[in-house]
Amino acid sequence: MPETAVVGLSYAVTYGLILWYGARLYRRMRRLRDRS
Amino acid sequence: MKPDHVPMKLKLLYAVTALVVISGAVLAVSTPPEAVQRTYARILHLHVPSAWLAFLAFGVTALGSVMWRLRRRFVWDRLAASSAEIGVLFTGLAIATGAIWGRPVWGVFFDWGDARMASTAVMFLVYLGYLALRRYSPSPEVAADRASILGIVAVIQVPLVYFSVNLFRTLHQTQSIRPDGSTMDPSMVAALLVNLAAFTLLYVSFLAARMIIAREEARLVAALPVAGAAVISPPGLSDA
Repeated sequence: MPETAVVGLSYAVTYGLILWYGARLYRRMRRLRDRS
Repeated sequence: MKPDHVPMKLKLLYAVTALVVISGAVLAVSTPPEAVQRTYARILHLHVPSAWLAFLAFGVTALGSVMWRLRRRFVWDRLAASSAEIGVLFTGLAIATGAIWGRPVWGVFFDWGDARMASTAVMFLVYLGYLALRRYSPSPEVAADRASILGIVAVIQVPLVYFSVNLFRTLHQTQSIRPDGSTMDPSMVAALLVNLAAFTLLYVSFLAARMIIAREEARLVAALPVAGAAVISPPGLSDA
């Protein structure tokens, strides 16, 4: 696997997980707003 | 405060966080290749901040746990629980980025014989257990009581993980930035410091959002009618 692909994978995993968690928090906030 | 009414201060925090995270990513990918590890060394700018956040998050969990036991106020329990959840996320990221980095430079994704890797994996599992313990407790108060004990005891792992590379000379290298100086190029140190700041801001942003969610969820649960109340005390029969 080329070096840049390995580094790219690590960046994709990190920022992907961060975005996923941020989106999850946002969705939970929206759901709470709809209930209240 | 309704969850959609995010205060201006928080909105500003989210904007600053996004800006610093983007700057950190740009700086990280534009650092010069390292002499031995070449481009692979750029993973450092994700791996080290993730590990730092794990330590910070579990330290805050311990603080929240101690304060819950002293004050019995749910805000401290929410702080401990929210911080632990974020800590688990970033410990997972530290392990994942370490594995991706380790395969090309050490020849292994993971090695249970390495003190740093093994202790980090154990810490990850213990805090997963902390989250499970909270979920399967019968009431919020019992969850807070049980979790606070684990939150206080488990924090001993933080210095153990950090100093494991000094205590046992295995595969993982020792610290690159020490009180007596750094073994890294100044441009790499600058990029690393920006990313440490970016990830710390991410932690604070996530923690603020997670604590609002926890508070609102607790409010909704408290507003629900108590299950079985109608059976225990049916209307009109209490005087019979």
